[in-house]
Amino acid sequence: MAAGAPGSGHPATEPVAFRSLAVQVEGELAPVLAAALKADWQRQEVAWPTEHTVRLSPLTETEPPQAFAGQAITAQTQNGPLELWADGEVFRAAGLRLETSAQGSVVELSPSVSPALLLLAFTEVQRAAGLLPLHASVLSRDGQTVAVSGPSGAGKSTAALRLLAQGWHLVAEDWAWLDPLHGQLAGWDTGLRLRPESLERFAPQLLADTPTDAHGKRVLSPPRLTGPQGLSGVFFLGAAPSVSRLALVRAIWEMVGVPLTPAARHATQAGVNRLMTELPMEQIDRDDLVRRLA
Amino acid sequence: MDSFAYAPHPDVLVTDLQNELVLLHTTSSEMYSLNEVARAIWTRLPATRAELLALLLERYEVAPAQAEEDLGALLGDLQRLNMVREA
Repeated sequence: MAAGAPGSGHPATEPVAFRSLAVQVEGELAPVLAAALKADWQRQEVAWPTEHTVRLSPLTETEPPQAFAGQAITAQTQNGPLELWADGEVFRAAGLRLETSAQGSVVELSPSVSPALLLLAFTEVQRAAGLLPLHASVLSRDGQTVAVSGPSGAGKSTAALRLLAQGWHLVAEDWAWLDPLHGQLAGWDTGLRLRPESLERFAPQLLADTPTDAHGKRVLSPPRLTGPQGLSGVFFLGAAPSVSRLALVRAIWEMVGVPLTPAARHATQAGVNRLMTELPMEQIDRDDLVRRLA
Repeated sequence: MDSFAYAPHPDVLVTDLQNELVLLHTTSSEMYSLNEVARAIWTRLPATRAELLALLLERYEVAPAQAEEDLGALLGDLQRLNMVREA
């Protein structure tokens, strides 16, 4: 471990070097941050090309982010709204300076950075490297892999539970990363969170041995299929089946989320355009989906 | 005629469906579909109104008055939806 320069006020750092999905991460960071990043961004080994390098270093700026030129923005994330200041390709927030481009990214962090900002920054660099985060359940059977997306409460997890009983294997409950260039996907979360009534209705035999999380949902832990899977198609759960192209465009952006940085937006738009032309997608009712994939 | 240049609003996501271009505003969630002619105008941005009019007259067989009316309608829609702004 390298000590901080005497009198510099910088905490001790350690070298960091690991690959994560489509990026190679390199640099020096406070050990607590290095450990958090590795835990979150090395969930499984995926042998995708890593032409995008993320250079990490301790945050050198001591002024608050709003002291710099730029525009205040609010990023809507799954962890709630986050305040940032944008100046071209440079984004600042408490404990974070993020600069992305198609070729590589620079991330400066202080140990005070929040987990939500850390997640946002690394999601942005994966996006800038060309990946799409999928807010979807992903299941695979006999070489066919499907993503099931839709708004919260639409029944993604319940559909997944019913498909597990039909011989499908879980790849992801609600978070996967897709390489749109090669149509390959890797699951990024574990477990299957279900309302107790869903479990009672579709798999009552599992009720007794299934723990409950802080939100009252039952957490099932079926074996997860790891390694990249070739994505065969996407189903969007909705109240009514629709063939509207505009409805599909809206649904796919809800599935991949809104990128923040210009480089991530550019790459994500290219990825979405590729999916729209190359991947079968449709909106479907949950029960129809289960019947179709039985 | 406006002398400033129109530019795509940075909060607009663009999806290419080959035969149409779909704009989605990330804040308002409004959508707007561009046909072939409107797509030519959008992809020319940033540009002034005069430059966009010249593009229409050069590329399409359309009377100047009609081109001006069509362009005004399109830019009006895009401004109302906050999908373009002054560069």
